[in-house]
Amino acid sequence: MADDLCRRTTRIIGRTFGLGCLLFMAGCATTSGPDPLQPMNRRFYAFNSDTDRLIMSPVARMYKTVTPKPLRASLTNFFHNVAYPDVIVNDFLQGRIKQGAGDIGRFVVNSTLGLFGLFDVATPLGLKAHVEDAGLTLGRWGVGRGPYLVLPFVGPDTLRNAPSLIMGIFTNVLYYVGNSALTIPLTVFDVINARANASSSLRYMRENAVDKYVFARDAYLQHRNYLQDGGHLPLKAVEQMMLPPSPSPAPRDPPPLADPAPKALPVVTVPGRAPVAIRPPVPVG
Amino acid sequence: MGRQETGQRRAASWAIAFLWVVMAGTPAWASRTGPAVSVVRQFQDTLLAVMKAGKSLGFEGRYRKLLPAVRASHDLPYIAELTLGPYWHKLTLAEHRAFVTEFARLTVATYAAQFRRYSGQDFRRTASQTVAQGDVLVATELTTHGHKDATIDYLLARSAGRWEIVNIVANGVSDLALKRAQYTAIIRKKGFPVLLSILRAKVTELSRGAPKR
Repeated sequence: MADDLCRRTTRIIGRTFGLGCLLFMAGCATTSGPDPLQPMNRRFYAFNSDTDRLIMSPVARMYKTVTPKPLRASLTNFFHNVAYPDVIVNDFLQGRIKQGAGDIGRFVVNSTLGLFGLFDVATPLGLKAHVEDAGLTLGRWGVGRGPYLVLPFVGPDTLRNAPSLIMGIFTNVLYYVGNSALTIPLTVFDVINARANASSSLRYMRENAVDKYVFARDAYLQHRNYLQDGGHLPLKAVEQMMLPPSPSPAPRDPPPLADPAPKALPVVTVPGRAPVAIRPPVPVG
Repeated sequence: MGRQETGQRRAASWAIAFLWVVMAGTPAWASRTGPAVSVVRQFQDTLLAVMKAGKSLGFEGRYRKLLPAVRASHDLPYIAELTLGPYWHKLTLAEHRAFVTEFARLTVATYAAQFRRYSGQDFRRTASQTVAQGDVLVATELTTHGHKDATIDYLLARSAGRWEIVNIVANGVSDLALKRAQYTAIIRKKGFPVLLSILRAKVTELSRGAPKR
C-alpha cells in the first residue's frame, strides 16, 4: 500500500515537472495580450475537437442512452463530492474560514447522510456548494492570470490555473483509496460523466459560435473572472463594454471583457442618448 | 384629553403606521427600475410561451413569434454597433445597414434555435439596480423544476423613451463581449464581407437544426 502510494506520488511529481517545463516555456513566450500562444493553442484546440468528435462525443452519447437521468445526477453528485476537499483546502488557503467550515459540513453531511455523496442532502440544509481551486487561490493572492492555454485532453486553461490540475489529483478522495481496480474505472466514469454533462454547453457553442476557438477562449476567461470575483457580475467591465466604439485604429487583438476599467470618468456620446460621464454603479433597493 | 382627541391621535397613528408598512414593503428600486423590469418580464414570458409550443411551432413558427418580441425588447442597431467595436467606423452606411439586418436575423434565429422545447424551465427575477449612464441591470435566474440552472443578467438602456435590452450576461459571460471578440477577429483576418456571409450561413444552419453531437 505504502509502495503503491510512493510510486503514484513519484509518477505525479514527474508529470508536474513536465507540465512545469511546458508552462515555463509558455511563460517565456509571453509577449502581450491575453493569448500570445495562439498558434500553439489553436493546434491543440483542433486536436481536442477531433478527439472529442471521434471518441468522447459518441461515448458520452452512448452513456446518456444507457443511464437514466437520476442515476447520472447521483453519479455527478458522487464525483463532485469526492473532489470537494479541493474546495475546502482552497477555502482555507484564501482565508475564507467561515466558508471553509461550511464546506467541511457540506462534505461530511453528503458523505454520510448522502450515502457517499450520491445524494446532495447538504444544499437543502443551507450548505450550498462553492467553486474554489488553486487557480482562484493564486488569483486571490495577487498572482497574474498569465497567458491563455489550451492543453491537450484538458481544454481551456491559463498559466495561473494550471497547478489546479495537480492539486485536484492530491485533494481527490479517490487518490487515497489505494485500490486501482476501483479507482481507474471510477476515474474513467468521471471523465465520461463530465463530458455528458457538458453536452448542452458544447451544443450551445457549436450552434452559436462563428469562431469556435475565440468563443471558447473568451467564454472561459470571462467565466473565470466571474468566479474570481466570487460569482458576482463584473459590473465595471460590463459597463465598459457599453462604451460606443472608438473611431481610433482597430487594435490587433481586442482584449476580453474583464480588462481593467479606465480610471478617469470618460464622457461618452451615444446616438440617441444624452452625453453622460461613466460613473460608479449606484446600487439601489 | 378628550375622547375625540384621543380617537384622532389614534387614527393618525394608524395612518402613519399604514403608510410606513406600505413604504417599507415597496422596494425603492421598483419605481425607478420598474419599466425596465417589465420589458425583461414580457420578453421572458414570450420565451416561455414559445418554448411550451416549441415542437408544434417548428423553427419557422418560433422565429415568427419571437421576431416582434425581440424587436420590441432589444436595441438591435445599438448592440450591432457595439459588437463591431472600432471597425464600425470603418464601414460605409450601406455596410452598417447590411450588418444590422443580418445581426437581427441571427439574434432571432439563435433564440428560436435555443428555446425549442420546454422541460420545466422558468425565470426568476432576483434584483434590479440603476448602474452607470442611468442604465438598469435586471438580475434573473433560469430554473428547471425550481433548481437554478444559470444566472442571467440583462442590461437595459433608455432609448427614445423606451427601455431596451443592450447586453445579456449569463453566468458572468457577456453575450456582447463574446460576439465582439469573434466578429472583430473575423474582420481582422478575413474582412467584413466574409463576416457577413458567415452570419448568413449561420442563420441557415440554425434554421435546419444543428446535428446531434
